[in-house]
Amino acid sequence: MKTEAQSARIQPVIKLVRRTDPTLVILIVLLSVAVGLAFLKGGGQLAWLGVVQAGRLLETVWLRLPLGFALGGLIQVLVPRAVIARWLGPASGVKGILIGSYTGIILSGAPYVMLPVVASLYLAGAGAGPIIALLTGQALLALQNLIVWQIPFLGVGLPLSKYIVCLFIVPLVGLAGSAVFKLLGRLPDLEAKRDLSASGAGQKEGADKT
Amino acid sequence: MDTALLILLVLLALAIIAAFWKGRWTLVWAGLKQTGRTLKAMWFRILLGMALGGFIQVLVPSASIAEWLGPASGLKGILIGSYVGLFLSGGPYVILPVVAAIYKAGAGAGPVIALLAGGLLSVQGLITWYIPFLGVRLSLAKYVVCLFVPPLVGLAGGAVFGLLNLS
Repeated sequence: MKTEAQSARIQPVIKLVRRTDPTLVILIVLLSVAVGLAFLKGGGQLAWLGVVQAGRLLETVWLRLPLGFALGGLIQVLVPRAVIARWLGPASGVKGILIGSYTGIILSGAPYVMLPVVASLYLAGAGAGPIIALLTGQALLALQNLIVWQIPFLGVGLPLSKYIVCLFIVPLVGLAGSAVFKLLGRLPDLEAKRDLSASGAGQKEGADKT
Repeated sequence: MDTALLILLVLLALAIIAAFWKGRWTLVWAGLKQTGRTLKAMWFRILLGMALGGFIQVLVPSASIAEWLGPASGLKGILIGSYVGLFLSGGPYVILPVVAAIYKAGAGAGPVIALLAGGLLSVQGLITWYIPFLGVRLSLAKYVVCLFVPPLVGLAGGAVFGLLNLS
């Protein structure tokens, strides 16, 4: 009886925890730890200094950020994901790796939006090299990331230097990734992908779908 | 007006013109609505990320940052910057304010560029997103190769930064 009453009491708490965004919780915990450490180390004065530093950062980016967001929103409506899927397709070899690498420039979105698209390309018959190049290209070359986040926070010089180098490194990652993928042949692949590779017809069918 | 702001304004103007040309006001409005949705989802996280960046700046003395990641830290700084990425998690709204705070506190271009590229190595991203969607073989093949990428990007990026002289 007591246990039922207790579980009824904690039900709202469980519901609240389930609804809460884990990233937000992690951020709040990290910030609380930082504020606590500042108090321990230098009392209210150091904590206030932390707030002042945060204010300075906000002063630098407050106008740049909404501009970046507006640009990101427009890029999302201008470049449909279906078009990106058509460009990449099941191409293989260096051509596929180059297409994969530089498709990353216009591919954007959170992992839960992007990874289902990439997984569907992989299952449709795209090679490991182009997919690895696409994932790395999206992480290092996405224009939206450069414009919305890196330039507003770090200015032009640093993000641009990184971007120029990454233009050359991403295809190399695709090439090397393809070789490592072959070496890791004993590891389990996606179930559906393994079925497709088992029969040549399956691979062709996958290619035809794209 | 600073260069970063000017570039953003020009790019935004071009994007608005392209959207208007492709789909008139309907597409421009769709872009703005998308902007509103992103801002609504992110504004609180951005503020928290900035507050965290501010506290890291006052908690970790500039001298320590300069020693670990400063322009004189050389290859050691680039390797530290690269492999801090293993523990990075959260969106750019968390990572960028922290990286900007470290840069302002005296870190060198190479280590900061390695730190930015080190996001590729997030163990949390591998476990939470890549393996569930793409399986073990493909995800690990990418991860193994990427272990070597941030130090290379840091070394070459630091050199390009010196050549561009855009700081």
